[in-house]
Amino acid sequence: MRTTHLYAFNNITLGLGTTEFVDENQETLVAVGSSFRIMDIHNFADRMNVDHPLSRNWRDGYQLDTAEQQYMALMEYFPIDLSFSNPVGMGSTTPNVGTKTIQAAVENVSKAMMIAILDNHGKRSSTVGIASTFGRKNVFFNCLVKKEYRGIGTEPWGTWNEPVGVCTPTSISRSNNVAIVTTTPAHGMSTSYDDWGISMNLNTGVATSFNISTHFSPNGVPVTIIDANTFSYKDIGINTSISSVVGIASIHVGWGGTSNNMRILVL
Amino acid sequence: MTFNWPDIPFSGTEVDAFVVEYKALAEAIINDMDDYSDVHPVAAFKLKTPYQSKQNLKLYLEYGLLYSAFIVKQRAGNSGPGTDFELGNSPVGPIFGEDQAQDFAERLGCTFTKESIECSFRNSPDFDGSQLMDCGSYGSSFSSTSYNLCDFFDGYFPPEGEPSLADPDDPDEPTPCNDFWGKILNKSEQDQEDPNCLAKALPFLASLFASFSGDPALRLMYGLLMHYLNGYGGVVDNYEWNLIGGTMADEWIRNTTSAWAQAPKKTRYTNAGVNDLFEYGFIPGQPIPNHEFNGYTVQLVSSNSSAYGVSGGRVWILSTKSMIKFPSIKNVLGNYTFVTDGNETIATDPDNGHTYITSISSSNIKQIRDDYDFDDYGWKLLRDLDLPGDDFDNDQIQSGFLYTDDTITPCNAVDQEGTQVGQGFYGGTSRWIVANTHGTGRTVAGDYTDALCKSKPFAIKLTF
Repeated sequence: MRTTHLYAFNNITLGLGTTEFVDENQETLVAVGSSFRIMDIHNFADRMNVDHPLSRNWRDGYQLDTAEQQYMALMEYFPIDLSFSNPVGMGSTTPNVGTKTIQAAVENVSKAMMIAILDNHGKRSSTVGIASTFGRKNVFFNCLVKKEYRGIGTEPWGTWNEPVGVCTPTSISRSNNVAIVTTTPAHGMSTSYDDWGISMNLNTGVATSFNISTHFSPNGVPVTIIDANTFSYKDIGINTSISSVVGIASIHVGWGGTSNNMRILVL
Repeated sequence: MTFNWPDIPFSGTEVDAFVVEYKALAEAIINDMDDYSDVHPVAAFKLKTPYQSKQNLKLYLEYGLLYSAFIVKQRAGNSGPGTDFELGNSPVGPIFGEDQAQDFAERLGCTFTKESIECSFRNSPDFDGSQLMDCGSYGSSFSSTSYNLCDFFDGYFPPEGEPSLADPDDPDEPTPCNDFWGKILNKSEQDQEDPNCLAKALPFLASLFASFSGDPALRLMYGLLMHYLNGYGGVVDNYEWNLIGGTMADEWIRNTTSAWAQAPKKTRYTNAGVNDLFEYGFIPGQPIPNHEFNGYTVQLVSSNSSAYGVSGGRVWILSTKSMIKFPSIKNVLGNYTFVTDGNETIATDPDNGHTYITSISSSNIKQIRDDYDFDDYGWKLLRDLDLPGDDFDNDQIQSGFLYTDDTITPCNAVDQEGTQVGQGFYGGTSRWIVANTHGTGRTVAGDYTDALCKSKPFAIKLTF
């Protein structure tokens, strides 16, 4: 097994020691006091959806994130072929190829197993659900099949992406590619949970640039709750502020629970 | 196959129960799965690429256990390791960042330039020691990985003779993307990337020849592509459809839709009969590809068609993926939506609960709808708020998902799609043309503007 692929297997998105996360605004916290603590986030690269952006909406298989990975996919045996004792050609020149793809695959399989085994199709539950092995296998494979073979009446494609509520944005702004939304009345998302997501659906003019495509984010995008009436989400675009908007925001639940913060404790 | 399960450095009522179920389910999954065989409950070929290999899936299951168990432990919230890790028990070891991994690999002597990768690839023999890309010697054997590569690299590598090192200074040395337009139009690389009207020359000629044909499928196949490349946009109705496809072309697709919608369930091992040859292009005695939707050609979208302006009807998606006949509705529209008056006869498959059509006449079809777009290497129509076939405005147009940033060129986009490329004009060549009329860079929704020589998606709404 090549070293970098072992790293890929061993890590999903967490980068201890980094100060910023791709999908998070939260920084690693290091505290030195009576003990040495590192607080960090352990979560999936895609915190909201069943699958992973690398594989989503790909017609016949898996979207590879670099051109070089085409070769690996075409060889049918990745990453297993990388354990060749005397690799030649592609394998010997590209030990780093496939890292993200392997991480995505581990992530997708982990999600598929949780959906198949846990209550509430894996959402916010730590309890093993009641189902036959046959039923669990069906759900597991349904998470991993190509899009055209999905059983859309079977979980996770049946109800997993459905919103759990709505809120009403009244104003919105974007600064440094972060959108801040104010709602009236309160949005209702409790700070007790860390897995809220949102699908914006605004109706008029420039405000529509804040909308979230359900094509690319079928279960919304993760949000950071600022207060009872305000939340933010990453949204690439020009800096702008709109004082009055019309539309709704659907509220979703993704992967998480009361808290997925990983606490490393060194005594 | 025996799993090498990792140690779970934490415990608790919930996580212990989860781990037991996880391992049991993983065993059942692997026992059921056989590489590339049609096994219960899902055939391996239906899985996305990384999961088709039993060995790979086993690895993912092994490594996925720790992560999913960790999340369960976190959710359970009980105390002990898993909520407060000792450093040595963390599931996360030292990690290379992206830059660190790159530096590490380069210090091992690995280079990441395209030229180096291609050079290595071209000098790499097949696993059995035979020459790579000797496509002629593989015949119809699909067991060789090199045979699969033949389609992908057809025309880019010499079919026989000693593979040679790629020399970027050699003008005769073909490279996968750059040489395409060079060979056809003798254009420079930059010219190949820029949208240009010459990209439409080939489909225009094909469309011209097709217009002499009496086959509506052939005429529509090229005519609709030209409509897209010319950037006409709008909604193609029955009148315009018949102008492109010929008189009564709308009735042709209505009749064909009716016939294909009630095609019986097929399995992978159903052999074709003589009638299938003439109607659908299947070879008698050979296995028929199973239809896309649980073995059927139709998927019920809604039992209420009022949103489509038809009362009392149903809305279906028709899959043409398993149709082999060329040219056919598969080449014209691919999968598309049709709306009925509700008088078709339906049934439910007891095996999987799938609703399908047992009998329908063409007169039951009241609408055929589709969006003619390319959601990967061309323009994509966003339909978050309305329906395929509805009128739209430019704000609903955005680049296909292969255009990931402002630097992605048409060649980059088609190169990614290259793993799927078929052969012939409607396989590889048309994709280069479609991508060329898109141009370089990603256009987000709201930024699309009409321009000369720029393609544009359009809607199709046929009413009866």
